[in-house]
Amino acid sequence: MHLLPSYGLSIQEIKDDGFESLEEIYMSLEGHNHFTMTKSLGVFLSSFVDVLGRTKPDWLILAGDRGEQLMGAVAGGYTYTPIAHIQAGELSGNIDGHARHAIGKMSHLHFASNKDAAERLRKLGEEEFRIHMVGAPQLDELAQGLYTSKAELEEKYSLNLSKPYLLIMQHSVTEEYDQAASQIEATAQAVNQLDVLKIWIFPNNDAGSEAIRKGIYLNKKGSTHVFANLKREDYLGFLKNAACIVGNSSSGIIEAPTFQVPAVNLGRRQANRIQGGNVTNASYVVVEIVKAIEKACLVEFKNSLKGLANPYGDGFSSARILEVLKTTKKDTRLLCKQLTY
Amino acid sequence: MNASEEFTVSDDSTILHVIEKIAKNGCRAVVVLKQDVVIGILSEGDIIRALLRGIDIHAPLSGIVQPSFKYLKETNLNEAFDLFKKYAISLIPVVNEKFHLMNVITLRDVLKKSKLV
Repeated sequence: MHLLPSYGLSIQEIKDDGFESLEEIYMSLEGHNHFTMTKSLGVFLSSFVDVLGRTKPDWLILAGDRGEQLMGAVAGGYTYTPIAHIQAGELSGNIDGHARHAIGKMSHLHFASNKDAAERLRKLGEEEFRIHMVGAPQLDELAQGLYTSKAELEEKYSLNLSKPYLLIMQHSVTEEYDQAASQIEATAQAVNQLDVLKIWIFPNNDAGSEAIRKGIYLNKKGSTHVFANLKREDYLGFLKNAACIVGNSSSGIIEAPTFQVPAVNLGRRQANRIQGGNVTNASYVVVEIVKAIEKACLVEFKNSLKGLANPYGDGFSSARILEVLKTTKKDTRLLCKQLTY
Repeated sequence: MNASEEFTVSDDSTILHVIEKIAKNGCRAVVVLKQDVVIGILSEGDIIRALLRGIDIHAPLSGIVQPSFKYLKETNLNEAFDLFKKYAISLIPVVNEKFHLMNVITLRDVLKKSKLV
């Protein structure tokens, strides 16, 4: 996805941060359905295992719960490459959740973002020495203030952010991809009932994403701006200053609490994830979404979030992860896993 | 009213078609429409960058069009001038509430009105 112009060619952002890209793999087949998605993962797996063979990394570090990471875990596991998994053990409400646990089975180290996730890893039969509770590293940038200021955003994108605005990000849910069009329709109709600036971010490229993009395009109304892929610091700037984040992105659950920004979480994509006090849940019904956004935007609600602790950590995860990676011996005990259950 | 066909392409067009349009309209960009809704702008620069990356000119433009673009809600040449100056663009669509194209303001339109020209 990072290599695709239609997703904003985000590889450039990684390079701009000073990272070198060792290899670039084209993997995405057109179609955006379950079959092309799975076949794309197969393309990735067959290329990625050769990358491991050529580069022989000290650690293969996988973050999250996506199919691409699962392919990484398969390649790493069978080649006995040490694997560390960030945001291990959490629940997510769709096939990504299954992928997360499958990644965990192949991983040698688990970095959990909260107690609940660490406990789940134990129950899943993972050995105690492999489990480290470190928090969610995507909060580190928030804690370090690595986000664009409101004034810079206004200048860069020619926007007036002085009034409340909604940040909306909706991905397709792979099990419900045939409903992606009606789901985005409901969200768009709901936000269009509110006379505020709407900032939409395009979804990832899961099955159903084409329907979401089309739905966003055809339902644009009033003051609306759409972005394919914002720079991370710009995205965080928009999130920090938003009246509310709407949709089914994990950002509303994991990142928004740090900024004390209300989130309206739609549908089941984030089901069973630990939620902070900033989250209001709604299903894909227009009146329900409107009601949830109105509640989330109330001053009393916003005030109630002051001092809110983020269940996903304090924003100092990276240093903890690095320390564990530096001090863990890559020996037989690490590489030959024993399942405790 | 500038919203004529010379400034617009449909989102299922090829990059070659966009190049042909730009070659004829002389304002270095076109407005991309999906079922009458403005979904983006493609400029000469966008095309050149895509070609440099090795994209085929027969590829669909959907692979390179970005959904983010500057627009106005009414034909206001002063506001258009500010946007042209600030963002070095050459074409601004004027859209209604539902993002249907009402007009196109080109850099040339603004220069024609300028006292300097």
